[in-house]
Amino acid sequence: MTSVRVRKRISDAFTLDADFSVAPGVTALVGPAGAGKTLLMEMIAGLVAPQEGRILLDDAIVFDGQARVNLAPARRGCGYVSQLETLFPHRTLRQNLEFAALRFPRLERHRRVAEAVEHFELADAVSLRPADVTPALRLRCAAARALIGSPRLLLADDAGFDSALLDLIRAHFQKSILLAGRDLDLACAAAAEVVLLDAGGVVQRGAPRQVLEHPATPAAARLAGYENLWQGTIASLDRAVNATRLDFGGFALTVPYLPGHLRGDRVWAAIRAADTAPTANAVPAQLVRVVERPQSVRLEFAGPIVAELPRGQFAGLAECRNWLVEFPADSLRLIGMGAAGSPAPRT
Amino acid sequence: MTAEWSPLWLSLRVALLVSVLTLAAAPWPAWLLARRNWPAVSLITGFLAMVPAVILAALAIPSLPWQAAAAAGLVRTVPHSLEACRGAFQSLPPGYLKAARMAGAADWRVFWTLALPLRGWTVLAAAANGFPETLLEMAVVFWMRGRLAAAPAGAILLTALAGAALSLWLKRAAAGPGWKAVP
Repeated sequence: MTSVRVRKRISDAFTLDADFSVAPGVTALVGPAGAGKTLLMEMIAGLVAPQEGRILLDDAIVFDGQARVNLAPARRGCGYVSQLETLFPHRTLRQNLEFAALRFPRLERHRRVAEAVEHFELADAVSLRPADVTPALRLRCAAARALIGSPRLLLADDAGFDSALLDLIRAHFQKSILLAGRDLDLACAAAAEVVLLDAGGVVQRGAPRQVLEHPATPAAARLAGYENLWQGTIASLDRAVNATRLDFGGFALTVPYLPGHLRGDRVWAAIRAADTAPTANAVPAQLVRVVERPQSVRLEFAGPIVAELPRGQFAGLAECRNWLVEFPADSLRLIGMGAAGSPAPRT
Repeated sequence: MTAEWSPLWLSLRVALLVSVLTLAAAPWPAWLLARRNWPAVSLITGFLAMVPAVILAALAIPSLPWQAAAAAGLVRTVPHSLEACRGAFQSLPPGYLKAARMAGAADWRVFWTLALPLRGWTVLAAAANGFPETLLEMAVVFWMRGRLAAAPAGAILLTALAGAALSLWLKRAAAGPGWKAVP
């Protein structure tokens, strides 16, 4: 098991403070730009030293702030595929692979390079320089180079991996993979566990479906793709008719009875744009902007409320002036009590 | 009356030696200094790069041997080259250096296999820059001693101009795309 507990203050505005573990298989580290994903990956790889904390790879300590243990990157047993261009431009792909295997004796080095070339299907391109091959081949070569030292953990930092490359990697590498990025689809498709990172902290972790369907915090909901996020109060609770009325200032919603809550409690409500149902001939929502998308139309209402309609459905409503946006109760997610100082919804 | 040409040969010998020694001496310390910003080092090298060391040495020692003139020339050219190389090494893409660290490559290996090949033109340009500077300083020294006739002076000036042109060409090459950048 790999476990990471690190803290590093970068500025007054940003401190990375993360605590999570990486099980065998693929773990996705998902967060927006500036969340601290790259910094966290570089800390695990040993390229940046945390100020405090402890990092264990396969239960071996590679960093311990208190005991002043900080192993060099090459001794940690991590493979790292960066989001930056890392293949040396003046060397061929084979020479790039050989560079990563320099610490091995000559015969072993040749064996590893040959295996990497075969596994990652690079035979046709090994004598070419990175600028002369396609981006997909470069990425494959970067992954092969990261794995050539038989690491215990592969770190892929927003490197642009797709499912096909992940499958290729997993066919030859059965240990842990930590995949950082913003692509929730890839995270859901490939990862057994998702760790959501926002503003330097882990906001939620769990199985992808669990994280997507039941975000625990407003930040997690934002990261999980809930475009509509409002903070409101419980206006009334009625167990007899199984109804709770939520007041969000400009509008109110009725949802099933919420046990364990009291009138006046503050709650967050979240719903995906695709789960809303804009219809015609009513007043509550004022349409502000229409954004055309390949398969759908995104409607932005005052509020702010964001809705999404299939193109065909929108065509019949294009001339509509009065909109009513429905929030189906089974799609609406209520995210506990809004603590004082909790982040405001995205506007 | 035939002109005395020994000042030209002597100046060429000193300038060439200074350039070669600068090329040998500056890159490795520059690589070591490139890891951090050292304001004091920049101040000192900036100051030394402006000192006409050969002229001052000739003024201080009337019978200055050519080896000493070359050593004095290094006082000016090495710091200049050091700063240029340091800047070039600092501009190496961080991704390459991270990849080298992940591979466990030692400092000297990264220097030889990565920094020098990728920034070779800048290193050469910085070393070549010392050639015309030293030539001109030597010309001034001979002129001050009244040993420089018009013809050798013209030859020295032309050679210095050629050296400056070479240095400029190398600088342009260094600023060019170099190894084909990954699109």
